[in-house]
Amino acid sequence: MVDRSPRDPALDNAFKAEIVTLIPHLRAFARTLCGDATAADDLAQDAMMKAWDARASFQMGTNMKAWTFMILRNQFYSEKRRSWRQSQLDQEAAERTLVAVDDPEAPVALDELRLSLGMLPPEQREALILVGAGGFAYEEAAEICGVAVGTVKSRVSRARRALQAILEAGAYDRDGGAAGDAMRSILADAERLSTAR
Amino acid sequence: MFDVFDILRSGGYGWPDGTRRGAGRLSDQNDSMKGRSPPERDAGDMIEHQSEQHSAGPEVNAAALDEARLRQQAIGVRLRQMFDEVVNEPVPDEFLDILRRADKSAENG
Repeated sequence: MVDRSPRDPALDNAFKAEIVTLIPHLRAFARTLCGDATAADDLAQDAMMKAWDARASFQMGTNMKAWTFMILRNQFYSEKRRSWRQSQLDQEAAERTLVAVDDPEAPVALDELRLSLGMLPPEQREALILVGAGGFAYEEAAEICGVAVGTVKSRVSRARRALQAILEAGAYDRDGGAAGDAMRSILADAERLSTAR
Repeated sequence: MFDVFDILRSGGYGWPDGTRRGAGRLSDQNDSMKGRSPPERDAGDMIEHQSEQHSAGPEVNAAALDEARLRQQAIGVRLRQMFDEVVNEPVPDEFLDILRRADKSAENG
């Protein structure tokens, strides 16, 4: 339930200041859920507004990032239930999203990684993204997904193994390129990163 | 006067630090809470996993572990890079416009 009682403007400003810093992270998480960049931004905007409307229930100083991610995730699955055709991962949309890499030095393997991620079951994909890329602790990811910590650990572990297997086998859908190219590219890049330190 | 652009320019709380090596300060906080960096966690998980599967000599096991560790770390690096790529994109004006409208609406009661 949304609290409509008058709010302290200073509290509202503090809330807004914090949520603005989280917009990029909400967009990134939404992109991994939707695949399509436009749908992801719509989802992130809806989540942001829901968070704003529910700001009275948020306690400043607690973890707003986890709170907003939970709102976004709930919004995604709620919409998916209402209209599964719209929010189901669409391979065409996913491929359109892949051309968003403008950096000429950006590794080609990121495309393969995105495609491979798209092949994981949704619950494994979101667990891996939250823990492996979003910077959340297992406990926070469990709270966001509404499951036990052990379930998140298990999902992350299975996702890691499945992702590695898909990449190594070159089992993702691709336009040419030999199997194993992505893994070789990833390893070469990791080596460059480690020698640059 | 509150201006959301000032916050964006100042690189406030949780904003990426511009490097390509992590997911920002929140990530660092969480990792320090757990006392281990993400690559170390990855490596730990792989050790646990691999030790169940290999019964060959210690040298073979060590080499397999190194290889597995390297691969998992590399995938982890790319995963964060992929996420950070979107995080580092400029925020579309629509987001800030929506917040401004919400702010005005709140001011007007």
